Amino acid sequence: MSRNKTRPGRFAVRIFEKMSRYEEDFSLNGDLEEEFGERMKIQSLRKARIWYLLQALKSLPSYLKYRFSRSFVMLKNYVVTALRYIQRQKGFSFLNLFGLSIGITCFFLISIYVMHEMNFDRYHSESDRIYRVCSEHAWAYHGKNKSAITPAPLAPALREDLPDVETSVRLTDSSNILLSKDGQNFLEDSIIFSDPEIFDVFSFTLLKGDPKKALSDPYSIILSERIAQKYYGNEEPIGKILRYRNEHDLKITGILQNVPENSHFIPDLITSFQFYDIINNVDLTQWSLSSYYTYVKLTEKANLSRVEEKLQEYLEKYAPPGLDLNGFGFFLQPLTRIHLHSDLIAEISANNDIKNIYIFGSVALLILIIACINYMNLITARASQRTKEVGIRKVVGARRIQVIKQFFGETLILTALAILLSCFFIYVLMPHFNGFVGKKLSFDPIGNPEIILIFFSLLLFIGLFAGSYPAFLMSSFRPKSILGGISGKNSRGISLRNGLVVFQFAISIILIIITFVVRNQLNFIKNTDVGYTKDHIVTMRIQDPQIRQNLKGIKSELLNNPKIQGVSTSSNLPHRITNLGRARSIQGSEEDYFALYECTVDYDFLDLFGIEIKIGRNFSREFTTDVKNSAIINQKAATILGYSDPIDKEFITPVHGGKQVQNNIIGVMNDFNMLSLHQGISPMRLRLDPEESQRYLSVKIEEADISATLDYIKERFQAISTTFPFEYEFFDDVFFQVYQNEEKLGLMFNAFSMLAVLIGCIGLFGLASFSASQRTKEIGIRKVLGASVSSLIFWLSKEYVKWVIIANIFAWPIAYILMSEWLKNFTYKTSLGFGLFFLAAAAALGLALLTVLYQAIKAASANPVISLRYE
Amino acid sequence: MRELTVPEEILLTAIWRLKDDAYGVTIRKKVAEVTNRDIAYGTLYNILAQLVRKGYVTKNPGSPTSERGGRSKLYYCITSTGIKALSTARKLQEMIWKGLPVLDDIEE
Repeated sequence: MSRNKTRPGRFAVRIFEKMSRYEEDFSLNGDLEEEFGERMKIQSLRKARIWYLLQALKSLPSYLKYRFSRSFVMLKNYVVTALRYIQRQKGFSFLNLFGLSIGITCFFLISIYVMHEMNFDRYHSESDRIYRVCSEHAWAYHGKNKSAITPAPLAPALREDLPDVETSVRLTDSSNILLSKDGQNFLEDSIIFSDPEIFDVFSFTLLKGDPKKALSDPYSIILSERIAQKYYGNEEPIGKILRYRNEHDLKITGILQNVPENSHFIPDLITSFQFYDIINNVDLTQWSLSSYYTYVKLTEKANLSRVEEKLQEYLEKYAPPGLDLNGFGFFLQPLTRIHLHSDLIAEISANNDIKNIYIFGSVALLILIIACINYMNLITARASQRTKEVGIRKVVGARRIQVIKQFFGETLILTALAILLSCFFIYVLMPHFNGFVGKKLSFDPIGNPEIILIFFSLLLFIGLFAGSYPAFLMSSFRPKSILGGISGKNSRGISLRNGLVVFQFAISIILIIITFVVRNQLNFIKNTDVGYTKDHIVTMRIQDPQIRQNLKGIKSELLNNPKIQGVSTSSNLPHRITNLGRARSIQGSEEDYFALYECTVDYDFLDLFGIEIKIGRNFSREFTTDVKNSAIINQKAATILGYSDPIDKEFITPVHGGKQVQNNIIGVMNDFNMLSLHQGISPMRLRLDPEESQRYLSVKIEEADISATLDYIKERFQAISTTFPFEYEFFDDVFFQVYQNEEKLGLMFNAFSMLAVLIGCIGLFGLASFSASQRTKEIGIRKVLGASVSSLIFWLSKEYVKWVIIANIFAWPIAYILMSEWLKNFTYKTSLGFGLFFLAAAAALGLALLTVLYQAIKAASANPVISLRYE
Repeated sequence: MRELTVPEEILLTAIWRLKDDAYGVTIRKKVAEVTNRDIAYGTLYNILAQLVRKGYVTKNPGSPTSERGGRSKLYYCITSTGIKALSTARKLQEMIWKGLPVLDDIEE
């Protein structure tokens, strides 16, 4: 627009152009022209232009108001149309609804889990100021060189010496606690020994009792609400006495409010730190023993580096003299990072891994996306049915943006309904999901308004994402071509639809492959020869001191039973040998120490677990020197020690007090996996000590009559003492517990792949039924011309089968890469054979076929007379 | 029947006064003349739309003229409903002001 002398300013004109009012536009513009002209004549061009600009600006706010009131009118129409469509196409809409619902339910359940995990330990006020002090050391244990434990004097020292530390607490725990109340015995999982400062650092609240005084007497105990309820019901517990391990009397001085599930440790019982000293007789001023958890709460203005400097100071001051401090140190760990990011030695309880959260999160998102894609497919498949509607709307004046809004609205309404349906599903499925992930999550929209927020964002996301393609597609129909009598072509958007099917099935196939691989790996682990027997062995943990004293007698009595083939005691079970020491050969020096795993056993250990002796001999009663000083080492240790003939040679191990012991090698045993198959085999030795090895009792039994044999064992135990309840586990179960994580992963992918395939099939079902209905005439004609039903079925299903097969091409490489990465976690792994991939493809194909076949058969069997009647 | 808002009342009376000649430009001028207020076109058309919606006025397109760059004028005409609304408004005015002293206007 050139600078014409008689026109208003360009900018002002543009503003008016943007404010379109449909009908009144022409009049308004005309009015503006008229008045502009007048003013130009009466006043001046410049004044007229200024007036015009002012008009434009002044008109803006009321224009916005106008727009707003206008759109509400159309909204009502859109809602009515959408609902009407749903009502008319009940089956189809329900299919769509169901598919969306599944996606939403899945996503939501996982979100709750993820939120739960990511909010660990936030229950405490100022949780961002709370840190755990951890240790770093130069030697590695299971490949880790950091541990969560620190010396006892650290916490009080930090509290006194540093103003940056507001308060600190040290604590330790113990498991399998026997408590007696008036002669009635209870076995509790764990107890915490702590300073009173635990209530300052953490926000644990005492419902009864004074946090400042509850732990001042060493013989006190605080119960959690749960336990108090269990033991005392409605009675008042404060002041009553509980007997600890039949040895000490503790007075109940407080009731602790139940701590939320998402805390990295959950105190059910708390007693004083001094009590730990009493029962274990350790020196709590020793800096050289790291066995305790130290938590600090820093002040708001705390300087982290100052704290770290102080920690370094302590290290230098209190480390044993002559020790090279390289690689040793203390460090701070934020409380909220413990649950997901911490994998140290001696964590107070098992933590989760942030990687799992990522996996869960991605899977949830994937499923949601598949559900949305499904929706898109189903809607656009039917697009040709609605061309007339769109055409007429456009002819009577709807602009493209309005049609777009209409279809977005439809999507939003359907999504809202799907969300309601999901609420129902979630409510029903929650207990199963909880069992699955091993947590106690709850669905409580009233208690957690965040849930409503999630639903709203879901509504928005799905509405926009899933609604975008149909909205843009539908609104692009040209009225001329539609109403001119030419029926809408079915080929609109067909290539994108097929692409989406491929995408959906590719994801499903990937998930199926993952499921298979995880299952295979688990089976592999189960069946792999680990070097020792796992079957038919019952294990018992010995805690009762009375039982321990009488073990010899129990052993011989057990052996009297013909169904019992062997009995052995050991400090560890072969699948989890965690005692780590150091050793070196005689010729070596201080630098040659290597890590050596240890297990203390009795004479029958090797026989019971079927571990072969390669060279030399087993421990034998004939040689009295065998006890304590002899060693049976594994092949790995023999290799490291480097003796060509290890028998009767010796190696050095350090013991308490700086002394050294010479160990005589009497035999070399086969390597076996003393830890999970995640790791390789490390050097190991067995020590003979029939008295000291008494932590686990293992009994090998015959297959027949297992329950009778178990009863027999129980009787032998209870004849001696009934203080502790008799508990046993089968060794193969115990063995497998280490792989719980993988087991869960397998189950999860099982569930998700099934869901993904389900959603994909729902989509296929819709698409297939629709395309079949579009082709009734074609099918009729083909039949009349002599096509057989089976050839028709083949022809109808061919297309979809093709897409599923193509999906494999994308799925296989991705799955291969993902799984190879995952299998790197294991030193022993299965192979990723072609058979696996084919199986997954076949599974997906089979299911897809089933879905499509149903429609195909129905269509192919239709009577051509009926379909061709109207021409 | 909902009461007329003040802006509606102002416009409606202006349209009534203008009889056959009520369109954007003239309505604006009339309002400025009577009340000394200058309404922007945006607001004007907003209220006109409201009045149409409520049935107090009707819209009649005129014929295009060159001085308006080829666009026609949109004439607004008051309806009997509109007149009724005005008289109700007038009566209401009298009722609520009855007996109260007349306040002096401040000369602008």
